[in-house]
Amino acid sequence: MNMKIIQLLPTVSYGDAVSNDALALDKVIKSMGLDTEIYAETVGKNLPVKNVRTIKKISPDDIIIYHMSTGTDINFSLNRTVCRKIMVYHNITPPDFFRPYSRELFALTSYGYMGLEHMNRTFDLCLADSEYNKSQLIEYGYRCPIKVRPVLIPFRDYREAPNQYIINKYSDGWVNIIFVGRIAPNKKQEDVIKAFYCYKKINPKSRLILVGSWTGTENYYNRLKKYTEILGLDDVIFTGHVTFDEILAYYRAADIFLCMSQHEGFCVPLVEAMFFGVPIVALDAGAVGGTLGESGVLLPENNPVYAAENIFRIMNDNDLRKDILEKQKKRLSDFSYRKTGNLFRKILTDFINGE
Amino acid sequence: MNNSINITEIMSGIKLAAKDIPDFEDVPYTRNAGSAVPENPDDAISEMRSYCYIHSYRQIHGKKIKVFLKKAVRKIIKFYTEPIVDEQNDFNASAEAAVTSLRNTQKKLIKRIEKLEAENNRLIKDLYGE
Repeated sequence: MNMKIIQLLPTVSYGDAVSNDALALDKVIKSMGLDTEIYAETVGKNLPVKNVRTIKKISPDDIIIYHMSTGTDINFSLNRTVCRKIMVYHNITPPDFFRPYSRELFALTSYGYMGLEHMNRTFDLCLADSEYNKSQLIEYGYRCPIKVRPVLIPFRDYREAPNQYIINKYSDGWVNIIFVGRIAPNKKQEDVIKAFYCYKKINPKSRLILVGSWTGTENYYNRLKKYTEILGLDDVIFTGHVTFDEILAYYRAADIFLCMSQHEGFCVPLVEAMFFGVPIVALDAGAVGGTLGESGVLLPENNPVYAAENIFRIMNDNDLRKDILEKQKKRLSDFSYRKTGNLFRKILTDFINGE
Repeated sequence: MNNSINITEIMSGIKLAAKDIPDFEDVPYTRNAGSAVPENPDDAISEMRSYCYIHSYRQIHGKKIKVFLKKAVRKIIKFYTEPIVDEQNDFNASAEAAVTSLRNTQKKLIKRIEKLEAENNRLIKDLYGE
């Protein structure tokens, strides 16, 4: 049998969580001695990925692993392929979040949900990043087996040297509260700013660093900037797009990771914060609770005062901080490269063997 | 926890501060060609009207040298950008007037169709006695 595993996704770009997952899975599949390639419609520079148009022939013995995260024509053509198919579901941001800000993103995500529904009988197996994603697949009529498999995160990369300039710049004794994620309405950066506003009232020597690009969501970013002006907050930093060594530096300089996101399919930055030993305060929404497990501080409601109170407690109670970090470290072990890699390896082996 | 810190006092301070937090919903939207269109045509037209007039002038902030350079660039390209902006404004005004007029005509026609449908139904009833 000359089987080939084809990983397929709309876009592969540097630093994107879905792309990182596909690249990490590629290594695992290769370590299993299987023939595999990644194909995408749009490919970033210097990435080991081929253009989807170069796929010559798919035989019935092949297996397609499709990473679903957005709207694309691929969603409507996959059911015509003859081979067995696995979907890795990373979730799609609900379009309504984008309605006031971006026509393109609204249309793209709406098209994504149309595709999600269209494909509900296309796959032989689905892999969901979280229980939350699994429940959404069921809601959309998926009746094939659905297994929960956390995103594969190559932690080895996080041990690279961070940007020293940023570490020095923000190691001035002030409390650095960070949130990492693109500037997007579903991530509710306005609520992070609001909580920071409350915390700033009790600790003026604090700053909020919002790490993430606003490309495509400029209108939302402009509103956030205006909001910080209205609140009179000078210490809210929007970094924009950052390089990998800069992300590492922001995590290293951080004292608290604050997440008020209302929609996440997994939220890789939470796991990154665990890795860098940054205590997490997060709103219990979407897949956040599932990713945190028993660790971090999970806020049951979107209340800036409550969020600020928790930040204050963590910053002033060493025992509490230590306890949170210990639990986060324990939770982090569930996402270890070896564990998630082995889980995927087993799922794929069983699938190949028809189990 | 550090005993010298009175958490209750601090919390009541935060709660007090939180009472007057301006709401994010009150921050005006800025829209451009990438924004989503309101579903209601009247809302779309009213938005179109509010963004109909454009200008190329932008406030310049930042370090003195940057401000100076940007102002110089602005002066240099003024001869090129301003006629384009003026032409665009003329077009926007005509387009807005045309769309508003079409919308008004559409509203009148909808009313007329409703009236004629009602009349038609009444005549059918009279004719067949249903």
